[in-house]
Amino acid sequence: MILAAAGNAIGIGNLLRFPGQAAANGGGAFMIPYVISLLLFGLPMMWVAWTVGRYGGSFGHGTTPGMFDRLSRGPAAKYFGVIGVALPLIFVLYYAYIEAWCLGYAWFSLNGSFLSTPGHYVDLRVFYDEFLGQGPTHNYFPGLSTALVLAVITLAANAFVLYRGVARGIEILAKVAIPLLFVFCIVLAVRVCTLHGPDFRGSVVDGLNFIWTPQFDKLGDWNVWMAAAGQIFFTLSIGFGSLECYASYLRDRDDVALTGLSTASTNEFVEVIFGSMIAIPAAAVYFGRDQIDSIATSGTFAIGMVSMPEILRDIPGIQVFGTVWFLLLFFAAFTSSVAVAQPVMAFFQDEAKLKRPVAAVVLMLLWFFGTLPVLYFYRYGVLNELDFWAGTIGLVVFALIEVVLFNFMFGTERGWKEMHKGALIRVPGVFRFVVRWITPPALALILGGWFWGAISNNTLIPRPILQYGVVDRPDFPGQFVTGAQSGWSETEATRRQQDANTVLEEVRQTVEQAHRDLTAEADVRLLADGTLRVEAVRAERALRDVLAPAALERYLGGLGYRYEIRKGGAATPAATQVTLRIEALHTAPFIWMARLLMLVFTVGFLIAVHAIWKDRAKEATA
Amino acid sequence: MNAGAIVFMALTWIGVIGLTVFCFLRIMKGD
Repeated sequence: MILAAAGNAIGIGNLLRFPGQAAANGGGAFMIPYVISLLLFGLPMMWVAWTVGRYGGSFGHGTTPGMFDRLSRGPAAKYFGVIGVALPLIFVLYYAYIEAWCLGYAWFSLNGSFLSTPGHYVDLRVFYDEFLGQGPTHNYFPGLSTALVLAVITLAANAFVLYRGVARGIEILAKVAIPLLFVFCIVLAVRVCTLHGPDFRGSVVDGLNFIWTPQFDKLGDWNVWMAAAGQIFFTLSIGFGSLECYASYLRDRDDVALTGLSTASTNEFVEVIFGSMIAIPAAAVYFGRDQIDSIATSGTFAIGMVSMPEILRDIPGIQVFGTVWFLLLFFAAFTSSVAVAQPVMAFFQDEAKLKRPVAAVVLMLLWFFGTLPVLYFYRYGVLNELDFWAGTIGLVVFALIEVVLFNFMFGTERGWKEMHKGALIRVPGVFRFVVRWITPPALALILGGWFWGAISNNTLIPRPILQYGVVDRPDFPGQFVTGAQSGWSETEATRRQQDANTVLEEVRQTVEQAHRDLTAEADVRLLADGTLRVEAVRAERALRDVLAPAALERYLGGLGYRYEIRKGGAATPAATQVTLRIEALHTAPFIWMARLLMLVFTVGFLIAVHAIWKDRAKEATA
Repeated sequence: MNAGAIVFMALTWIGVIGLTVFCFLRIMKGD
């Protein structure tokens, strides 16, 4: 059981999402709230989730609407439990797509797609963006067909397992694959530690300093706290209802205290050690410390997906090693998606009384049609939006509800006794205090603080995004980077950034007035120092006034966008003419569509719970 | 690496490794 739960917990969350969240939230600034969240939220909620699951399971409930109903006996609790069924469904919509990326990268490793050859250079950042249809260029992928085929294969594999009910076979396979993944993590971490020398743009120490240097000045930022708490819940699979579903099969004589602790510690071992030793240090080595922020902000999972292939393509025998590594990652993610889908299956089977094949078909239909927008509108930020609401906010909200019910409806003393039935360890008494008096108000404070900040700063209103990329990228052996140049003073960097922001704001307003995407193409000359001189812009009429050559140059110059030859930037390129393609994307309709999709799923389950309980009440009185 | 990073990393690593070893030994011990 511990192995199965740990296998469920180890994978994409540790090796891809953790470095992405850490990098996007300031590295060392993220790690303090992260460690505190583990102690105050992660461990206590782990025990609560296992206890609630086993208790609910003793009444025949495998999902949280029924479990919460048993915890409180009040009429409202079951409706809150709906979150524990809606979240896993929303989660698998995008999680399966990330699984498909791992499968894709296994294939790309095998056929050498991301290997550079003389005259054809693969920029892994551009490669990743184009694979997912993000960015205005098509240097490596003509469209989304590869991603679509991979997503269909992944969904079909999930459907097969759920339909045939062979999850047990998957668990047995996981017992081989997860330790193997562990061994591969060691190999990659050791490999990263050996990467040093003048050939690289940064060093491993840069990456480790970035992630481990404590930054106390960011402790007042609610967004960082929210990201840290969300990551702890995401990685420990708390708040999806899947741990409760696992635990519902246990009986009073079975342990949940040591099981919960072991699941958390195994997972944290992989996350804290390998999550911090592979992707971020590798990104610092290959791309430079100053590029980590821009990679991280391009997508939550980007930093792992661009730095891992970089490490792999430096290792002799990438065809074998890279393929096996990404297949293992795919498999780890696959076990997680099957496990997270279980609460939805259990709800359809146990509460809605559907037969397993019918439940699997209904789930797969919702899953397939829900994944399509994630795939097709990835470039508009749909995946990140779902991950933010389902993978961060939703988990924190659900954990808060669960811990409040546990303490104040079920009773802390009663819950503590329930937790220790069959327990192999005594949970230290301090955690009883934490569960009752620290976890609920602290989670409420983080939620409130984040919400207040989001409303005050209008961050919940989607704004257009500006993307740009170089056509014929494979001709250039070096890399196009952004960030302050070494000669800039802090004042100059700030002034240039403000210039860039002014241009960006004008473009955003133009897109919002036009209510559609706007595009442009620019002829750009690379100067000897790598900076860009914009010579001409061919833009749509609406964009022409705000994106004149001078404005575009101010924008690119403000971001410090420049060309560097690959190894350290010591030499400068000969002046070269390049074409830059620019897209200003009207994201709002797609972001609101994603929010509507989440709302529809949640309301759908609310209606189903209401109808099911109403029928039961009728049957009971009949 | 700077001193703050070394201390923070060492403490966190010791914590998670210690916890994992404790759980492993306790599971090995059984009932």
